[in-house]
Amino acid sequence: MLDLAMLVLIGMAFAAAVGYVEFCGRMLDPGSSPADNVP
Amino acid sequence: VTWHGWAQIAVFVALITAVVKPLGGYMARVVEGRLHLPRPLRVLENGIYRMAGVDPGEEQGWRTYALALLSFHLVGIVALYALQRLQRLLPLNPQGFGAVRPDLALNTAVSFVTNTSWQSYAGETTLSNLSQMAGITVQSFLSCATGVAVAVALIRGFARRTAQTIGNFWVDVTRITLYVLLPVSAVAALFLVWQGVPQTLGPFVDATTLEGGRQILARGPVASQEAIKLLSGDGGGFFNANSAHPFEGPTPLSGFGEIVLIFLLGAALTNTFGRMVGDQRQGWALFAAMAVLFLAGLTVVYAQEAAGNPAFPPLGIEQATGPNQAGGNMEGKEVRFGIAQSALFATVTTASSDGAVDAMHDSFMPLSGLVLMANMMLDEVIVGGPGSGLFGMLLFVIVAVFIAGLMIGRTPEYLGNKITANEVKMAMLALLIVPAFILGLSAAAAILPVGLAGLNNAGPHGFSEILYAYTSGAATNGSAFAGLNANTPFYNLTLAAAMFAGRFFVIVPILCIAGTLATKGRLVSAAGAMPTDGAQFVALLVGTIVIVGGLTFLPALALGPIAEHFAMIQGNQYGTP
Repeated sequence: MLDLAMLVLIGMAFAAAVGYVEFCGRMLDPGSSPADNVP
Repeated sequence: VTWHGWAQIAVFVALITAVVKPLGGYMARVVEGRLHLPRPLRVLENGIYRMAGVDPGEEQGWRTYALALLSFHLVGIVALYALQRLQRLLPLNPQGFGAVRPDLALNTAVSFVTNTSWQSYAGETTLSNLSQMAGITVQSFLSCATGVAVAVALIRGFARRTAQTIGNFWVDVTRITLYVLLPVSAVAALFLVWQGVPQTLGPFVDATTLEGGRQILARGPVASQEAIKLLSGDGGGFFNANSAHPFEGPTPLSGFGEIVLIFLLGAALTNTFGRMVGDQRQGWALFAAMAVLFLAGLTVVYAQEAAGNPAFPPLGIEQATGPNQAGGNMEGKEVRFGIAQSALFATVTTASSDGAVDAMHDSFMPLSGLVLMANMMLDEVIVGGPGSGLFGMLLFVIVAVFIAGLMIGRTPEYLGNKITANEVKMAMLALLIVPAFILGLSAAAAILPVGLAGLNNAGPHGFSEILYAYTSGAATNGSAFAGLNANTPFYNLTLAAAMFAGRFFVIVPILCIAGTLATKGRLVSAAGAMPTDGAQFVALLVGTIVIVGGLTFLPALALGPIAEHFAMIQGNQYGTP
């Protein structure tokens, strides 16, 4: 039972990390690159 | 302090500096695929790709790279957890150790997959040889390779122009493991065996001592684990006492070699960075910033430990250096290492993300403890772990050029890349996650009965033990202040959360930065742009690191080591809780 709880915790942690990838992607301003490197 | 102590430190700094260029160049060739390999190695590498179904010619965008990394380590955590839980049913368990408790197995699995190596267990009484070799040692290799891979992906982000990809995670991890970690570890393991570190699959030895008593001598495949433990920035020892154990660090020479191994890859990666962005001076500027911070911290630790403890002379304890003793604060230190090497080891292991110890940090003077904690709190950018030190330093570079841009009224730029809101937002996400977990969890443990139950010291020192534990976890260092009983469900689970977030919630925004930078075209620098390869930039970078780190953690440090230092001067002692 405890093993199942630990595996659920591991799964939740990685789900959060995958969600974090999506979160970071959405934080980006889509209009800011690559053209913004014009001086 | 003694002249031979300083001489040892000078030799160490000279050796590391000498190795930066050749090893950095070699690693650049490895990760850029420019290494001329003998046919058997090419066959081996391609065989790994075929077995894994990886196309080495296919590059990944930052999202794919991040998801590949996360899936790789999900498998790693589950495998290491299962190995510990099932070890009593598996071979290579001569002592017949039983299954590791679930919360401890989870903590250990997260710890080694995140390159932290926080150990709530004593290796020689908990893990079978199979768990040590196929679990701990394998993850030391793979977590280290991941750190280097992320740093290389970020370098590609700085170096590439209008690209959609930052490399292939599987190829990077494979090449770094095969051509950097394995060969250097093999040589290091042979050096350690020569020095007296055991390497055997045999059972423990039942020995009769000179006094006629009976003693069980723990041993196992120590040298092979020891080598990658140090090289990888991982730090998890075979024995509970880590490198203070005579079978992990048997001689002063082995101790010195271990310190060199800890800094080897992290320092050399600055040169890899310089080569890959096309200007080695940029790498030397980062190395110089690391050196300034390292030498400042080391000077404090060495001076504090050599001066000794002011509470001892009134008790008639002699602390002066003499022909028969090292002098200074020798509590918790090995006589064969003395003050200088213990101070050097402690500073190196906390400046890097290694976390191996050859002395008990709990027994260091309060201001030394402050430096050790500060090294980790500064995101371990002072050389740092292989890869993690460099990408941490580059986060501070982004913040520094952003601040410099604000001060002089120019658009921030670095290496021909305009630093925009995207990079600054991601850098701040990565830099804030570690203090959030350190301070939040330390505060919780300092007020909750389950947290206080683990303490062996009252007052500021007890708080330092808690603060050190979460700092070590979230910064993925893994060294322990000791004195704190962390093998409880509360500490095992909260430290696992700190280690997980401190590793993966930092890596994801870094890969995001790599992705956004790679898409940019080259910015033509106008006259008046701040050069980033000179002393002025090094000073700005060091100032940014100290101020950001100092302002974030100063209140917590005031409650712990700073309060303890002044209490010690006043002669106040707090005893046990």
